[in-house]
Amino acid sequence: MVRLTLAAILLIGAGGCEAPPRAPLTVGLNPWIGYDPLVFAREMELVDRDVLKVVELESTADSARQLRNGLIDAAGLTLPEAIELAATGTDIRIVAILSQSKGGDAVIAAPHLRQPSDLRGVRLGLEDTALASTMLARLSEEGRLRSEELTLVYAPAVMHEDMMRRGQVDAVITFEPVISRLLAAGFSNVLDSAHIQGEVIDVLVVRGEVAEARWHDVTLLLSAFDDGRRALLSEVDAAAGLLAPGLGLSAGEYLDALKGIRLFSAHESRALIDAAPSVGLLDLERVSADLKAAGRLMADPDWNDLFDKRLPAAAGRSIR
Amino acid sequence: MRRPVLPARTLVPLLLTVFALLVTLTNNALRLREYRSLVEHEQTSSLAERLGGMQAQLDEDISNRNLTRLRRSVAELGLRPYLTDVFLIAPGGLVLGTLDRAGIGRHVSELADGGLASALLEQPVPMDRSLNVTTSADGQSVYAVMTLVSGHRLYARSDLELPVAERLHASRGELQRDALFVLLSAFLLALFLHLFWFRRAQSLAEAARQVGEGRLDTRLDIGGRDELARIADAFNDMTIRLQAQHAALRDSEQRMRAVFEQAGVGVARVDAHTGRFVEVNAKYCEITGFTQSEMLQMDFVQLTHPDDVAADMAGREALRGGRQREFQIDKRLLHRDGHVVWVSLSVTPLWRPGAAPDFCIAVLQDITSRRLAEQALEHERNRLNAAERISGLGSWEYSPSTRRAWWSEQMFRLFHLEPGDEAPDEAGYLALIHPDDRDAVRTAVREMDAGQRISGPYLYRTAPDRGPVRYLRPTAAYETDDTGSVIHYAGTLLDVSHTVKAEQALRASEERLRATLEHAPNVAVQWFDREGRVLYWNHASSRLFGWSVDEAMGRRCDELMLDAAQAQVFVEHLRHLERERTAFGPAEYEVQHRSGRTLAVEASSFSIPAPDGARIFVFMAVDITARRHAERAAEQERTYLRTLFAALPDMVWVKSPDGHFMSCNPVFEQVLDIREADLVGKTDYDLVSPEQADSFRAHDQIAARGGLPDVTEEWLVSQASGERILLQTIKVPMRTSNGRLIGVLGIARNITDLKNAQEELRALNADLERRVAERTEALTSAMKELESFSYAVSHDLKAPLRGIDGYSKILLEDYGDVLDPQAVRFLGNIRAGTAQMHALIEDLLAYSRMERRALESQRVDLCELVQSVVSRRVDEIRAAAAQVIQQVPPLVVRADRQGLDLILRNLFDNALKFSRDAHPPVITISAAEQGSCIVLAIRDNGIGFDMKYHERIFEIFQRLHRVEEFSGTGVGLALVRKAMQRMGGRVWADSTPGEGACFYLEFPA
Repeated sequence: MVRLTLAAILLIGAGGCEAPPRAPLTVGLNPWIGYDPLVFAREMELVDRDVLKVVELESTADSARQLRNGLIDAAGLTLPEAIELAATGTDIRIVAILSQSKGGDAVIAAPHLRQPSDLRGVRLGLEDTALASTMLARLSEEGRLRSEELTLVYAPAVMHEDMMRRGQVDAVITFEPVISRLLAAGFSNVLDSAHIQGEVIDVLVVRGEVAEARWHDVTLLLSAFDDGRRALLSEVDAAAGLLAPGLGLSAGEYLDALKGIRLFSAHESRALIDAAPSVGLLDLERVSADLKAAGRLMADPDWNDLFDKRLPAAAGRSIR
Repeated sequence: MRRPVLPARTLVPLLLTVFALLVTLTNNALRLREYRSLVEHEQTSSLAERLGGMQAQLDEDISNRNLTRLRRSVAELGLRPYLTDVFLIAPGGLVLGTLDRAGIGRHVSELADGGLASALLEQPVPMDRSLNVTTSADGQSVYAVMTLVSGHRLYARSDLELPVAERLHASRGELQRDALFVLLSAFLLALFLHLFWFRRAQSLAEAARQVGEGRLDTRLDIGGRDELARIADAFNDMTIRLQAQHAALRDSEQRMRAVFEQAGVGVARVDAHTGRFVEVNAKYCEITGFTQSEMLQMDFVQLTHPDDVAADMAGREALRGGRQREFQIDKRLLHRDGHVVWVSLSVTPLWRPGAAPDFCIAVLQDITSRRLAEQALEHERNRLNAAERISGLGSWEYSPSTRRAWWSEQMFRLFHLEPGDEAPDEAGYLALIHPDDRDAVRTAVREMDAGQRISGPYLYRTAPDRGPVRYLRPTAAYETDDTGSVIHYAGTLLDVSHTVKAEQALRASEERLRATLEHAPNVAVQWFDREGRVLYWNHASSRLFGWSVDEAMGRRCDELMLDAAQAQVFVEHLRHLERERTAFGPAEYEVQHRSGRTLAVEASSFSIPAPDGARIFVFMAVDITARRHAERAAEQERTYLRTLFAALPDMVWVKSPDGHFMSCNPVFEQVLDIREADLVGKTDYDLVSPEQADSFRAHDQIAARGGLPDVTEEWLVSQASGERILLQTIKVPMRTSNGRLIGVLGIARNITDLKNAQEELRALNADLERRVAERTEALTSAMKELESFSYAVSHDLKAPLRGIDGYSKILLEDYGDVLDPQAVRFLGNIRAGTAQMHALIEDLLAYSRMERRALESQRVDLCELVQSVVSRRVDEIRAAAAQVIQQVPPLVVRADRQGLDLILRNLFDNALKFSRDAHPPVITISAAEQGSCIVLAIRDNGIGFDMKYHERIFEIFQRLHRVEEFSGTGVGLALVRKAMQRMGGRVWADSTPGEGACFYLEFPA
């Protein structure tokens, strides 16, 4: 009797000790081709959807807000946006350097506007993000434009193409795939990220408590990005055929846009994080200065807290 | 019944543990069910709110062809937890947006993978740009389908399994506590039972085992005052009694042994299988002549006469097979010295019923001398039986004291019974007697029972159901004792059937002749002597003349039916018959009834010889009075009809079946200018044109064939005036009483003026109907436009309203942490306002739908529908702590089921709402047939209303209370009235402020 009761109690206790059902780790991405390795990994089913959920959001501002509000666990952000978010007190960690824009971000203007100085007095569309602020700073420097000489129209990137086509703005600070679509329509590239150091680095950010509690899932996320990157680069035509329609691009336009983006491997990412904050590619000082100048940053965040250096270079095994 | 395989000290704790586990499992299953329901509700609401909020934005993006933003909006839905699939599909099937980018730009058919996505895409698409949210049949998913502008559709699937699992995991601590509590309770209870019950029960079992081994001095002391202690006391008492009974049993056995040895009959114990003697007493040895030791070496077959072995073996076999519990036979034994000994043998088994056979007890009695006497008696009896059979005489004996009878074999044969049966008892004997003779025989039997002399009968018959009826003549003698009381009856029964049947044949022949005369229904037969005195008078004569048979016999004819002069003529007529010896008639006469009434008869007469050589005069008369009266009445009727014919203002005529005129009235003569005398024998072809005559003739034939009046309108030119007149003609077939057609009666009326007036009236009505139809059409058109307008307005208001509601929710969820409390409160007010407006629009839509929708008339079981409505409100009823009394018998009405469901839901919700302050709220639903209608009543004990507002409450948007007091839109009762009107019924209410209200629904049967 005693043995039977004890067995029943142990059975019930064991039932209660099983791991709680866990929602998949949700990562938010805005429509930026530099994040497409993760999207490709999802489409090719290189990730287990019960473990990892990739959500495509409207803008990086959306990604930052949802990260702050806890609706997503991780997000792809530009480096300035990650810094701005961390500086506002949000507990986040940069766990990977994903890509660098080499022309993937640009100022696109009406066909008759050819260079930065031509933009004096025009209506300029841009997102209300840190990256757009730094691009605006670069544009003002290049064209020697004063702030009052531009009429700024804030709008999410998904509306940029439409605003340009309707003539609601004369130029936009935007990024791929919008750049490729506008160039194909005959608009001109006034300034692009190939000429800008540091600010147009994209990073993978994870909320602090998620990085602590679900470190295994985070490593799987990094593996997914690396697996997706390798698959995308090895089958680039197939990837373009699969991913381009969803961005409103042809496969050719997609491939052209991809040329303006450098995708970092897991090892490269690890090396950059290990070297942070004193690493030239990231140029944290200049990014910080630009953000402060634009009034988006009061003080630098703690760089050592921001860059999570605990994760191994070859992060985790493949999750497929 | 199977016994438990485990002892109670193990079985009970085991059962307690199993019970505790079952309780725990049941609790878990119930919780899981509850969580699943909650999660389903949350996810359904969440999905509906989210998609509803997006609808306006998506419509705008579709209209503006902003595909990028459409894709992003759809992809962003992935933020929603548990949302697994979303597809935005263009009208041609092109996928515009999904959670997976690879699906964009493909055709929807490529997405159908046979899995969850296929199930989602197969969901029915709602009409009118609305949102349809459903749960999958397996309960694992929530599906939502929303129609957008230009035929676009949005499909979404939300998973239910994960949130259910999360909810279950969150409550695991509570479930574990409950389970541990139940298990520990079971453990403690089992421990208690073990210490205070099963240990002592074990001692009791051990003591019982010792007694079973024969240790009757065993005693038990387990302490306590409970049932076990009382069982232990009873156990001790039982062992004491057992010891005493054991001693008594030993004494009894010694006594029984002595009886066995000294018994006056042979007694032996025999092996049931081998038949060998195991034990025999001295008497048994004396009967068989063998010594006891010799007997124990033998079996019963060796002792038994060869002819009796089979019967003996059969009896013993029946005992072994359990078919008998004992048997007894008379059989022969072979004595040791070789002579035959007759014995009566009784054998009784010693094994219990159902047990394996072991030994029998055989009891033997020498009956040799009795058997010899019986054989001599049998010989004598055979001789007597032969004598009785030859003479047809049966003999019997009867003893009143024992009420037992003895019958000879011939007695049995007389009653068609098998000889050898036991003589029947009184009831059996009476059943053998002819039913008509039973009373007499019963009286005789009772007299014998009473020891009296037998008074009869002298002849009686056997029952016809036993065989051919026999006539039996009984004789009886009796013996008396010293006091003169009868102690014994003896008698015979003689079969006299042949004699009786010959007499009956003769008598029947005479009876038939007499009956023929007596029962001739209409022929009055009298016999007279030559002086005119009645010798015979049958029943028909009694009916004809009023004198009964007894009164008439011997009287003269002038006293009965003729006056003096007629009687004199009658007697002379008899003399004539006597002389001529011939028959006379038939001739008609007038005779007198006893009442003085004169009758007409038709009579014949003749004479027949009397036994004394004289003549008897037979007079046979038939009453013809009624025939005479009928002939006179027919003549009168003909006169009346001719007068009526002549007086009628219409044309009247009669034609033969072949179309020849037989008669007509003066009006006919006047219109066709022909006299009746000239008309008779003519046909329509002699009077009018051949075409018109064909028509008249055809209608004659229709009337003749159909049997009913044929009514036609015919134009005719009057031969007299030359005027063209319209006649309404009725033609009726004339038939005899046996249905033979004898002619066709025609009646024609001039309706020319009446016809003209009708034509004018008809033209007037047609004009009036045309004007009414024009106005009705205009009114219907206006109503349809109005309904369409209200429906479209209400429906199109829903989409932006969902947007407002959805965005306010997103604001609260996504920006709640940056809004101050006042902003949050304002947002709450906005959401409350949209909820109220949503309810109003839904009600308006329901009202509009009720006006537009085609109702289906179908058989609806009121009881079942009321039960359905109430069961769907279980949660609300429980929340309001209300009592709902249903007194609805199984009545069936013809109504639109969906509409009636809506009506009942509205009235029930109203009753719940307005009785919320009652303690407790009581809602009574009853129904009954009232005349040709069925009335259903919903009564509450709520706040009620003033009857001066009775009409107002059924009008749309009319409310008697502020929204803050009682929520609502003011549409519900208007909807109820509209629905009842459309179903052909009506609704009304009865109420007093503060005393509740009752709403009645009346349905046509």
